[in-house]
Amino acid sequence: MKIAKYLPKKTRTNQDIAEMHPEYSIEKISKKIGISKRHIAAEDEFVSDMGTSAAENLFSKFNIDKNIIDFLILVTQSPDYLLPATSSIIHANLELPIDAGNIDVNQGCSGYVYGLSLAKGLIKGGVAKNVLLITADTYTKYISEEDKSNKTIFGDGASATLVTTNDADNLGEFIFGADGKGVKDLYVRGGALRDRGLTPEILMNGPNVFNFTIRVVPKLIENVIKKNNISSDKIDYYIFHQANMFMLSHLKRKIKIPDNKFIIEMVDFGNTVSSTIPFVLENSDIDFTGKTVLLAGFGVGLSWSAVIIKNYGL
Amino acid sequence: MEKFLKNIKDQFEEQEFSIQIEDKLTEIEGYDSMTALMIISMLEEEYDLLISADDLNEETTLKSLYTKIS
Repeated sequence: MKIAKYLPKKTRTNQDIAEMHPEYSIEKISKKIGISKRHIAAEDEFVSDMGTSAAENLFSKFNIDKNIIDFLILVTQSPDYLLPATSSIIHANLELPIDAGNIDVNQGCSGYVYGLSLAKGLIKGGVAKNVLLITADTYTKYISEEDKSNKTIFGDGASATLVTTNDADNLGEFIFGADGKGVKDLYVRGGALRDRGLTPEILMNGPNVFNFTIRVVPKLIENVIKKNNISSDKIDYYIFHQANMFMLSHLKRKIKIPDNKFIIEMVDFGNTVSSTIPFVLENSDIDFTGKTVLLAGFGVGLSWSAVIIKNYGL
Repeated sequence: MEKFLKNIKDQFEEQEFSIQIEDKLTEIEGYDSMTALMIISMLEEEYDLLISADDLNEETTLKSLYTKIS
């Protein structure tokens, strides 16, 4: 798959957070969670802007003619407006063919894998041939001034992936799941119709989200391996949603994934929600070409998803 | 029990305090959501006990938590 990214220019370093919250032991905490820098969308920069830039980067990086795109999927949880779909704005910005469809998908940490499954479905169903899958979020706009924990974890960013018929063939079987009982373990209060009038604010119960991942992710990995009828030693790389290093390290140990197969790549981005997995694929020094790669997303919803890609990029 | 208390104490950032089996976790100075997360992780790895944050915060004392693992 061809992937490009876009990162806002403004950054928030650990030093910046230490200055905002002198009482907070940011250095110790950031060592545990494995983040030193996050990119922050400008005040007048929104998901449509970032998604458009990521797609433009994709087109120029791989010399792609935008006229081949026949479907646009945008995964976001921080849309420009409640309606219309933000993908409509990106569609217009990119001047995609007028007969190319577009849809927004409201998923977060599990969203990239969801997007890949929808792209595969559209292609295998004969609806589309070249799907542009964009992930973009500006969670930092939901973080209150006082909320040092979420400032430490989340960053903004966007990715753009071209999913072709060839890529769809390499995408194996998917696993999904949801547990809506954990809705309020990670949610934005205000900003939509319920709790109308409140300033949108992200609220997270970190320990509960952590507990959820320990309960769900090992089984998710076991099930996706089983469903793809593959032996775990045939998987070259495991790429999980980059929530934070502490959580990822715990999962790696619990699932007994060898260090050299488990990729952590978030030190300069933070948790960028649905963009963390494509950022690893795009940014890593590892050449994934021809490899068997397991992708797994889990988090807000609560929601989870996984897939195995064979012959990556071939 | 001593090992258990040490394992709990190790999850706190500041180490200059003594910990007793009768202590209530949420009343130990420095206890916050990050400490809770680390204690949940430690309990799962060391004692195979997966506890929710709410249950952890509701435990009356470390002793009641200890009975769960012993």
